Amino acid sequence: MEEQNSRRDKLIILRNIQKSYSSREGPILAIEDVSFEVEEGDFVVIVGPSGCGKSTLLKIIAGLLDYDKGSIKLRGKEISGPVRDIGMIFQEPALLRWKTVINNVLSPIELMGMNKEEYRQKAEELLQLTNLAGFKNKYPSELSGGMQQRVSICRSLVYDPSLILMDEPFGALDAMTREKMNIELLDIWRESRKTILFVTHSIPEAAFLADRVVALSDRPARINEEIAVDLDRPRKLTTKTENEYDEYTERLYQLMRGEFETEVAS
Amino acid sequence: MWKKLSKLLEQIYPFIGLLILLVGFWQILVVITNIQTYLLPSPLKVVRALGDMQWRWFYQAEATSIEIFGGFLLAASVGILLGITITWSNILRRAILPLLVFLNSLPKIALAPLFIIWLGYGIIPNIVIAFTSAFFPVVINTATGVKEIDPNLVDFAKSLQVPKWKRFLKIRIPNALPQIFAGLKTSSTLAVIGAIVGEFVASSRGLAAVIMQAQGILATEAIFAALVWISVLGLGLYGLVALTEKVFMPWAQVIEE
Ligand SMILES: Nc1ncnc2c1ncn2[C@@H]1O[C@H](COP(=O)(O)OP(=O)(O)OP(=O)(O)O)[C@@H](O)[C@H]1O
Ligand SMILES: [Mg+2]
Repeated sequence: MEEQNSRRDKLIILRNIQKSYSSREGPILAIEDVSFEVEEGDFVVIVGPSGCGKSTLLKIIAGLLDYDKGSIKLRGKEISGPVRDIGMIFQEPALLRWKTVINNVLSPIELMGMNKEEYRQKAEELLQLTNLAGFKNKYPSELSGGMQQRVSICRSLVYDPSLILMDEPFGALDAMTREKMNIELLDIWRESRKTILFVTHSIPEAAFLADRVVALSDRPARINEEIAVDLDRPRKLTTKTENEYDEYTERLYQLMRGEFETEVAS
Repeated sequence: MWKKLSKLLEQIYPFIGLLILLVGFWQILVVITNIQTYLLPSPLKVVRALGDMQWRWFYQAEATSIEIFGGFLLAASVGILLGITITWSNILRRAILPLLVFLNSLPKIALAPLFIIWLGYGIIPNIVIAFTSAFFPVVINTATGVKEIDPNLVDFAKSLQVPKWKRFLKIRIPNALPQIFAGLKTSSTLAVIGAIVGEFVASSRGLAAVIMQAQGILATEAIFAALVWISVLGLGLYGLVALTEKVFMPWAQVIEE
């Protein structure tokens, strides 16, 4: 385990991140002290109770929010502000409703001032991969929530960032669609060799997707524990019937139990 | 094509039906009460006045249309530009918005004499009055549309390091199109009012000038005929705006279909 880790490069390193928001009643500490690392090609899942600062953390990594203390290094280089090597997928698909599906997928190319035509084929391949080929000329309002989220995934892959941040991307979907999307996402991850940092507050989802789960405490966020999930890949629906899978979810529930209780109490 | 036409008919026939009913009722009322024509002319007499070239309808409607369309186009372009400007920065908004609110609070009819003194007598001051009447809703609607946006869309663009001007051009402004068009529709009606108000204050040409002449000789049927003309111009402009909206926002239609 140790040996395997050291062979791979660290893509991103967070050290002692702290963040407070200012409010009318003075500053609110959202993140107290968070440090972790993500290696190239990893699928890391962050779990934590609602309101603990998960979205805040992802926005900080994406360069969309300032932080008070700490440092973030991408490939060893300190970053401040957005970088094009990091893509973001939001809880809602956040598509451009005036553009067709294919043009939504190509929108990062257009916005970055690059030649759309050079990427058209890639965009179509991505739509193929996510079973959306027949919908490329539809508008977002004509698609279901799950399809929209797939478009948003294609959009984040088209310009090829190394790291993709996903903030509860399937939170708004029904349980069945969600499971399907999880499997699809793992396929995409395997084929595209991306590094994914995924936020959820569903423990089964975390255990199913992750190489490693980072469990955050209730607000202000601290790291409670990191758990490596050594389930076989590729994972399938049947993975969820394995005893080992149950053991991981069990452990995560144990770990988070304290947090759920404080949440109910407060 | 045929399907579209029958769909359109389906939409408008209740209105046409009601219109025919009302006009028929009006005609019957006039006939059975035998009311004097200068008080209430029958619809037939109004139609006849519309065909009476003594009133020089095309010449008069031409002036009024230029005022309406000119005022509206000015209001649309200045309004959209100002709406975007006041959302660009807080300082610009705090400087410009109170001024606009103040100007808008003035009754336009009270401004009309000023424009006539400054710009002379004729079509130009009426264009300006139509413009001042019509531009405010465009500014406010554009500003609201540009400002109120799903923050994720902005974050999405920021994560790609898209500069602010480009975020406006490619994200905020297209996002604001529905509100911009809502403002333009309101403003199209106000432009008609503004142009007519201007003509009433001072002018020798235009549909309001016809109304005043007709009033002088109690030719009430010509007043009605002029009203028909005005509403046709108003509907024409509104229809044009609605059509442009369909061209610019094909994505908004899929929801209806
Ligand atoms: N812009 C803001 N101004 C002030 N406080 C904020 C702001 N955004 C978030 N917060 C506070 O910071 C804390 C963390 O918020 P955040 O959105 O990061 O939580 P989260 O873990 O993503 O929650 P959820 O699971 O519900 O999405 C919350 O208590 C929230 O009230
Ligand atoms: Mg969140």
